[in-house]
Amino acid sequence: MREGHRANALLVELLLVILFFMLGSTTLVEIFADAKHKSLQARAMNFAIMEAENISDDLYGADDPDKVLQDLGFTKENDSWILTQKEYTLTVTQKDEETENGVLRKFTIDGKGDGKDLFSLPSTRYIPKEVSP
Amino acid sequence: MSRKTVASTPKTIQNVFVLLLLSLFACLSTFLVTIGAQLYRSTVDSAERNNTGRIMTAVVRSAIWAEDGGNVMVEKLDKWGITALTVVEEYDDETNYKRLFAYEGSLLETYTGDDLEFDPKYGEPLCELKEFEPELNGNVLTVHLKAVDDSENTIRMTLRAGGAEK
Repeated sequence: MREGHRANALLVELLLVILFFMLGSTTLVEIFADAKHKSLQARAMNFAIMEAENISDDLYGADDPDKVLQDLGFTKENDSWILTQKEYTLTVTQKDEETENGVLRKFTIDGKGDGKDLFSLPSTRYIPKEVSP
Repeated sequence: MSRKTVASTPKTIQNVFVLLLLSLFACLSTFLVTIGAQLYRSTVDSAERNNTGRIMTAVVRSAIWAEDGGNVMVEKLDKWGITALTVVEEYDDETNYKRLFAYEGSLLETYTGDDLEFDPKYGEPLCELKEFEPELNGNVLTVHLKAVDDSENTIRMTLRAGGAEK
Protein backbone atom coordinates (compact mmCIF):
# COMPACT_ATOMS: atom_id res chain seq x y z
CA MET A 1 0.00 0.00 0.00
CA ARG A 2 2.83 2.34 0.99
CA GLU A 3 4.69 1.49 -2.19
CA GLY A 4 1.61 2.40 -4.21
CA HIS A 5 1.38 5.78 -2.46
CA ARG A 6 5.04 6.45 -3.15
CA ALA A 7 4.60 5.61 -6.84
CA ASN A 8 1.57 7.88 -7.08
CA ALA A 9 3.47 10.73 -5.40
CA LEU A 10 6.28 10.27 -7.90
CA LEU A 11 3.82 10.38 -10.76
CA VAL A 12 2.15 13.54 -9.50
CA GLU A 13 5.58 15.08 -8.97
CA LEU A 14 6.60 14.19 -12.51
CA LEU A 15 3.39 15.56 -13.98
CA LEU A 16 3.83 18.80 -12.07
CA VAL A 17 7.41 19.12 -13.27
CA ILE A 18 6.31 18.53 -16.87
CA LEU A 19 3.46 21.04 -16.48
CA PHE A 20 5.81 23.78 -15.26
CA PHE A 21 8.33 22.79 -17.88
CA MET A 22 5.68 23.18 -20.58
CA LEU A 23 4.69 26.60 -19.22
CA GLY A 24 8.34 27.68 -19.25
CA SER A 25 8.78 26.26 -22.75
CA THR A 26 5.79 28.22 -24.04
CA THR A 27 7.30 31.46 -22.75
CA LEU A 28 10.69 30.55 -24.19
CA VAL A 29 9.26 29.67 -27.60
CA GLU A 30 7.47 33.04 -27.65
CA ILE A 31 10.76 34.78 -26.81
CA PHE A 32 12.55 32.79 -29.54
CA ALA A 33 9.90 33.74 -32.10
CA ASP A 34 10.19 37.39 -31.08
CA ALA A 35 13.98 37.26 -31.38
CA LYS A 36 13.72 35.72 -34.85
CA HIS A 37 11.21 38.36 -35.91
CA LYS A 38 13.47 41.16 -34.66
CA SER A 39 16.45 39.62 -36.39
CA LEU A 40 14.51 39.54 -39.69
CA GLN A 41 13.44 43.16 -39.15
CA ALA A 42 17.05 44.21 -38.56
CA ARG A 43 18.08 42.37 -41.72
CA ALA A 44 15.36 44.10 -43.73
CA MET A 45 16.33 47.48 -42.32
CA ASN A 46 19.96 46.85 -43.15
CA PHE A 47 19.16 45.98 -46.78
CA ALA A 48 16.76 48.90 -47.06
CA ILE A 49 19.26 51.42 -45.68
CA MET A 50 22.04 50.23 -47.97
CA GLU A 51 19.75 50.41 -50.99
CA ALA A 52 18.46 53.83 -49.91
CA GLU A 53 22.05 55.13 -49.65
CA ASN A 54 22.72 53.90 -53.18
CA ILE A 55 19.51 55.47 -54.48
CA SER A 56 20.31 58.72 -52.69
CA ASP A 57 23.63 58.88 -54.51
CA ASP A 58 22.01 57.92 -57.83
CA LEU A 59 19.51 60.76 -57.41
CA TYR A 60 22.20 63.21 -56.42
CA GLY A 61 24.03 62.68 -59.69
CA ALA A 62 20.96 62.37 -61.89
CA ASP A 63 19.90 64.97 -64.44
CA ASP A 64 16.58 63.21 -64.88
CA PRO A 65 15.63 61.70 -61.50
CA ASP A 66 12.36 60.22 -62.80
CA LYS A 67 14.22 58.12 -65.35
CA VAL A 68 16.71 56.95 -62.73
CA LEU A 69 13.90 55.87 -60.42
CA GLN A 70 12.07 54.16 -63.26
CA ASP A 71 15.25 52.27 -64.22
CA LEU A 72 15.64 51.17 -60.61
CA GLY A 73 12.18 49.59 -60.70
CA PHE A 74 10.17 52.31 -58.92
CA THR A 75 6.56 52.94 -59.90
CA LYS A 76 4.90 56.31 -59.67
CA GLU A 77 1.92 56.67 -57.36
CA ASN A 78 0.48 60.16 -56.92
CA ASP A 79 3.50 62.38 -56.20
CA SER A 80 5.84 59.70 -54.96
CA TRP A 81 7.84 56.83 -56.37
CA ILE A 82 7.49 53.44 -54.71
CA LEU A 83 9.73 50.38 -54.80
CA THR A 84 8.30 47.27 -53.17
CA GLN A 85 10.71 44.51 -52.30
CA LYS A 86 10.13 41.28 -50.40
CA GLU A 87 11.32 42.63 -47.07
CA TYR A 88 10.86 46.39 -47.36
CA THR A 89 9.25 49.24 -49.27
CA LEU A 90 11.03 52.41 -50.31
CA THR A 91 9.18 55.60 -51.10
CA VAL A 92 10.88 58.55 -52.77
CA THR A 93 9.32 61.99 -52.71
CA GLN A 94 10.76 64.99 -54.50
CA LYS A 95 10.30 68.64 -53.60
CA ASP A 96 11.93 71.44 -55.56
CA GLU A 97 12.53 74.85 -54.05
CA GLU A 98 13.15 77.74 -56.41
CA THR A 99 15.78 80.14 -55.11
CA GLU A 100 17.21 83.30 -56.58
CA ASN A 101 20.21 81.63 -58.16
CA GLY A 102 19.04 78.11 -58.71
CA VAL A 103 16.90 75.21 -57.62
CA LEU A 104 17.19 73.26 -54.38
CA ARG A 105 16.16 69.73 -55.23
CA LYS A 106 15.14 67.80 -52.14
CA PHE A 107 14.52 64.07 -52.07
CA THR A 108 13.27 62.09 -49.13
CA ILE A 109 13.68 58.34 -49.15
CA ASP A 110 11.41 56.63 -46.63
CA GLY A 111 11.87 53.00 -45.74
CA LYS A 112 9.07 50.83 -44.43
CA GLY A 113 9.13 47.23 -43.34
CA ASP A 114 6.54 45.04 -41.69
CA GLY A 115 4.10 47.96 -41.62
CA LYS A 116 6.48 50.14 -39.61
CA ASP A 117 8.47 53.22 -40.56
CA LEU A 118 12.11 52.17 -40.57
CA PHE A 119 13.93 55.36 -41.53
CA SER A 120 13.84 58.55 -43.54
CA LEU A 121 16.88 59.55 -45.56
CA PRO A 122 17.02 63.07 -47.00
CA SER A 123 19.13 63.96 -50.02
CA THR A 124 19.54 67.49 -51.32
CA ARG A 125 21.22 68.90 -54.38
CA TYR A 126 21.58 72.51 -55.36
CA ILE A 127 21.40 73.13 -59.08
CA PRO A 128 22.61 76.63 -59.90
CA LYS A 129 20.98 78.56 -62.74
CA GLU A 130 23.06 79.11 -65.81
CA VAL A 131 24.63 82.53 -65.61
CA SER A 132 25.02 84.37 -68.88
CA PRO A 133 28.42 86.01 -69.24
CA MET B 1 2.45 -17.72 -8.21
CA SER B 2 -0.41 -16.41 -10.30
CA ARG B 3 -1.29 -13.84 -7.56
CA LYS B 4 2.23 -12.46 -7.72
CA THR B 5 1.99 -12.04 -11.48
CA VAL B 6 -1.31 -10.18 -11.17
CA ALA B 7 0.10 -7.89 -8.50
CA SER B 8 3.30 -7.10 -10.38
CA THR B 9 1.60 -6.21 -13.70
CA PRO B 10 0.15 -2.79 -12.65
CA LYS B 11 3.49 -1.97 -11.01
CA THR B 12 5.30 -2.73 -14.27
CA ILE B 13 2.84 -0.57 -16.18
CA GLN B 14 3.35 2.23 -13.67
CA ASN B 15 7.14 1.95 -14.01
CA VAL B 16 6.89 2.03 -17.78
CA PHE B 17 4.62 5.06 -17.56
CA VAL B 18 7.08 6.88 -15.31
CA LEU B 19 9.89 6.00 -17.67
CA LEU B 20 7.84 7.25 -20.61
CA LEU B 21 7.15 10.52 -18.82
CA LEU B 22 10.83 10.90 -18.01
CA SER B 23 11.82 10.24 -21.61
CA LEU B 24 9.19 12.71 -22.81
CA PHE B 25 10.64 15.29 -20.44
CA ALA B 26 14.17 14.54 -21.66
CA CYS B 27 13.12 14.73 -25.32
CA LEU B 28 11.25 18.00 -24.87
CA SER B 29 14.08 19.65 -22.96
CA THR B 30 16.62 18.51 -25.59
CA PHE B 31 14.33 19.82 -28.34
CA LEU B 32 13.94 23.16 -26.59
CA VAL B 33 17.66 23.55 -25.97
CA THR B 34 18.47 22.60 -29.59
CA ILE B 35 15.90 25.02 -31.02
CA GLY B 36 17.11 27.78 -28.69
CA ALA B 37 20.75 27.20 -29.60
CA GLN B 38 19.99 27.17 -33.33
CA LEU B 39 17.94 30.32 -33.10
CA TYR B 40 20.59 32.06 -31.03
CA ARG B 41 23.24 31.09 -33.56
CA SER B 42 21.18 32.27 -36.53
CA THR B 43 20.37 35.57 -34.77
CA VAL B 44 24.02 36.17 -33.91
CA ASP B 45 25.11 35.22 -37.45
CA SER B 46 22.53 37.54 -38.96
CA ALA B 47 23.60 40.41 -36.67
CA GLU B 48 27.23 39.72 -37.57
CA ARG B 49 26.43 39.79 -41.31
CA ASN B 50 24.47 43.02 -40.90
CA ASN B 51 27.33 44.61 -38.98
CA THR B 52 29.95 43.46 -41.46
CA GLY B 53 27.91 44.81 -44.38
CA ARG B 54 27.31 48.14 -42.68
CA ILE B 55 30.94 48.51 -41.61
CA MET B 56 32.29 47.57 -45.05
CA THR B 57 30.08 50.01 -46.92
CA ALA B 58 30.51 52.80 -44.34
CA VAL B 59 34.30 52.47 -44.39
CA VAL B 60 34.46 52.61 -48.21
CA ARG B 61 31.98 55.49 -48.44
CA SER B 62 33.70 57.60 -45.80
CA ALA B 63 37.17 56.86 -47.22
CA ILE B 64 36.03 58.12 -50.64
CA TRP B 65 34.09 61.12 -49.30
CA ALA B 66 37.09 62.14 -47.21
CA GLU B 67 39.16 62.62 -50.38
CA ASP B 68 36.43 63.41 -52.87
CA GLY B 69 38.20 66.59 -53.93
CA GLY B 70 40.79 64.69 -55.95
CA ASN B 71 40.61 62.77 -59.18
CA VAL B 72 39.31 59.28 -58.69
CA MET B 73 40.45 56.39 -60.87
CA VAL B 74 40.47 52.63 -60.95
CA GLU B 75 44.00 51.27 -61.10
CA LYS B 76 45.05 47.74 -62.05
CA LEU B 77 48.23 46.87 -60.23
CA ASP B 78 49.18 43.68 -62.09
CA LYS B 79 52.39 43.19 -60.17
CA TRP B 80 50.34 42.55 -57.05
CA GLY B 81 47.16 41.28 -58.72
CA ILE B 82 45.20 44.12 -57.15
CA THR B 83 42.50 46.45 -58.45
CA ALA B 84 42.76 49.64 -56.44
CA LEU B 85 40.54 52.66 -56.18
CA THR B 86 42.93 55.56 -56.36
CA VAL B 87 42.35 59.19 -55.48
CA VAL B 88 44.99 61.46 -56.97
CA GLU B 89 45.60 64.76 -55.22
CA GLU B 90 47.98 67.57 -55.88
CA TYR B 91 49.27 69.84 -53.13
CA ASP B 92 52.12 72.31 -53.68
CA ASP B 93 53.28 70.67 -56.93
CA GLU B 94 53.37 67.30 -55.21
CA THR B 95 51.16 64.44 -56.34
CA ASN B 96 49.79 62.14 -53.68
CA TYR B 97 47.96 58.86 -54.18
CA LYS B 98 45.44 57.45 -51.80
CA ARG B 99 44.68 53.85 -52.67
CA LEU B 100 41.95 51.57 -51.38
CA PHE B 101 42.27 47.87 -52.17
CA ALA B 102 41.66 44.38 -50.83
CA TYR B 103 44.73 42.38 -49.92
CA GLU B 104 45.07 39.20 -47.86
CA GLY B 105 41.53 39.35 -46.47
CA SER B 106 41.52 43.02 -45.52
CA LEU B 107 40.56 46.34 -47.01
CA LEU B 108 43.73 48.40 -46.93
CA GLU B 109 44.50 52.06 -47.45
CA THR B 110 47.80 53.56 -48.51
CA TYR B 111 48.77 57.19 -48.91
CA THR B 112 51.93 57.69 -50.92
CA GLY B 113 53.68 60.40 -52.85
CA ASP B 114 55.24 60.22 -56.32
CA ASP B 115 58.63 59.26 -54.95
CA LEU B 116 57.45 56.14 -53.11
CA GLU B 117 56.73 52.87 -54.84
CA PHE B 118 53.41 51.25 -53.99
CA ASP B 119 53.61 48.20 -51.77
CA PRO B 120 50.40 46.67 -50.37
CA LYS B 121 52.25 45.39 -47.31
CA TYR B 122 52.47 48.94 -45.98
CA GLY B 123 48.73 49.48 -46.23
CA GLU B 124 46.73 50.37 -43.19
CA PRO B 125 43.96 47.82 -42.58
CA LEU B 126 40.48 49.33 -42.37
CA CYS B 127 38.29 46.24 -42.08
CA GLU B 128 38.08 42.59 -43.08
CA LEU B 129 37.21 42.15 -46.75
CA LYS B 130 37.63 39.37 -49.28
CA GLU B 131 36.99 41.15 -52.57
CA PHE B 132 36.94 44.80 -53.60
CA GLU B 133 36.05 45.53 -57.22
CA PRO B 134 35.63 49.20 -58.12
CA GLU B 135 34.18 50.36 -61.47
CA LEU B 136 33.93 53.89 -62.72
CA ASN B 137 31.34 55.06 -65.25
CA GLY B 138 31.45 58.82 -65.70
CA ASN B 139 31.20 60.22 -62.22
CA VAL B 140 29.34 57.19 -60.86
CA LEU B 141 31.50 54.85 -58.85
CA THR B 142 30.28 51.29 -58.29
CA VAL B 143 32.12 49.09 -55.83
CA HIS B 144 31.35 45.39 -55.40
CA LEU B 145 32.34 44.12 -51.98
CA LYS B 146 32.58 40.57 -50.70
CA ALA B 147 32.99 39.99 -46.99
CA VAL B 148 34.98 37.21 -45.37
CA ASP B 149 31.72 35.31 -44.75
CA ASP B 150 30.99 35.53 -48.53
CA SER B 151 28.12 38.00 -48.13
CA GLU B 152 28.10 40.50 -50.99
CA ASN B 153 27.25 44.18 -51.16
CA THR B 154 27.30 46.80 -53.88
CA ILE B 155 27.90 50.50 -53.30
CA ARG B 156 26.97 53.15 -55.84
CA MET B 157 28.38 56.61 -55.30
CA THR B 158 28.21 59.82 -57.26
CA LEU B 159 31.49 61.66 -56.97
CA ARG B 160 30.69 65.11 -55.67
CA ALA B 161 33.47 67.67 -55.39
CA GLY B 162 36.11 66.04 -57.55
CA GLY B 163 35.75 64.08 -60.68
CA ALA B 164 36.60 60.86 -62.32
CA GLU B 165 39.87 60.66 -64.19
CA LYS B 166 39.57 59.05 -67.61
